[in-house]
Amino acid sequence: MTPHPSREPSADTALDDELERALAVEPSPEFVARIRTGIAQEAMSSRWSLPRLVAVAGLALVPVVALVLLRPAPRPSTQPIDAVASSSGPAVAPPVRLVEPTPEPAQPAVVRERPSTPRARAAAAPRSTAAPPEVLIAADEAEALQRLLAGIRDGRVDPASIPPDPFAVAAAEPVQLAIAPITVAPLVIEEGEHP
Amino acid sequence: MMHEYTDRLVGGLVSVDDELEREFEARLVESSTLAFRVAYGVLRHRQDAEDVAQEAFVRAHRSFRQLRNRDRFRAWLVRMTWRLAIDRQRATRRRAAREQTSWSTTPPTTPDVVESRARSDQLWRAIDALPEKLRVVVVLAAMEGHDIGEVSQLLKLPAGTVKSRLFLARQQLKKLLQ
Repeated sequence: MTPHPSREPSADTALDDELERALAVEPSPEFVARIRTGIAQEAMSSRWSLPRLVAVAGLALVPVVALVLLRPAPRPSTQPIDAVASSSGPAVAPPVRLVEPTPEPAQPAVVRERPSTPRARAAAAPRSTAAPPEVLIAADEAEALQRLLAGIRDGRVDPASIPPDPFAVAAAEPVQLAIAPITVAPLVIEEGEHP
Repeated sequence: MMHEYTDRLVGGLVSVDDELEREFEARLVESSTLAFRVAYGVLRHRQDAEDVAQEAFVRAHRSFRQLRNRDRFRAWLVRMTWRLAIDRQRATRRRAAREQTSWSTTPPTTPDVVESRARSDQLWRAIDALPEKLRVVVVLAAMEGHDIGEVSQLLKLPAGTVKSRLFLARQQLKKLLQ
């Protein structure tokens, strides 16, 4: 830069010289090196900027997502139910062997696969044969029935004298209903009335 | 085939980056003193001026790729440095005042030095008293032999506006220095 290439002629030279001297300051010798260092540091820090961090985090998540998505679905087991029951801790119901190596050709072996859903599992659960099923009868009915049976056993009650089920008889024979015939009187138009 | 293409692409990008870096380095060497003096013209504190000029260069480097007209780099840098320096001055006005006081209270050695220092203080006070739009014109015109055309290019102002502002600034300075 050449000094004063086209300085205005009207300028106050003394004032200009004074201003020039005031501003003729030089930076320190290491100033340019400091700027280069600052630029290098800024470039380094910008390498780990937010978009880059997001990209790295996304890359780290890829294997996790892939693992979740590609995990094999639980396959239905082909094991017999007794084996399953024996391997799954304390059994509530007694183990029922459904796969029987029976020599009878007429009775094919029943192979039950383990149901996948809890509802199907409950439906397919083996019923216990150790205890008879509880019959729910009202206490007074049970007492009356016991008394009837005891009377028959003792000969006090003749079974032939027991009437058939009144509800069944009533259901078999419909009741005849007597319905009076309906008579409709003809209309009579009196004078002064409009039809 | 694909590898050749990517190699050429990567090589091209690297060479573009290298070229940009070389160009920026040239601009840095050419304009570092200017940026420092612009900052010093506002702050009158060497360390602060260097900090501000450095920050301006870091920002300039960040956006250098987006600068369409590289010939406008100096103007761009000057305006950015001036703005940063004004911001720094506002933030550290009290500290700058303390620096000025401590510098002024340094014991003078000879009567010439005393007179020179007093005159310098008076001049800077007068410059500080100018409105900002006059101050930037007078500071830029006083450094590195900038003429009106160069100042108008640096400030993106019409030459007539620069001339009138320079005239007004000198008038006010003369008045303040009398």
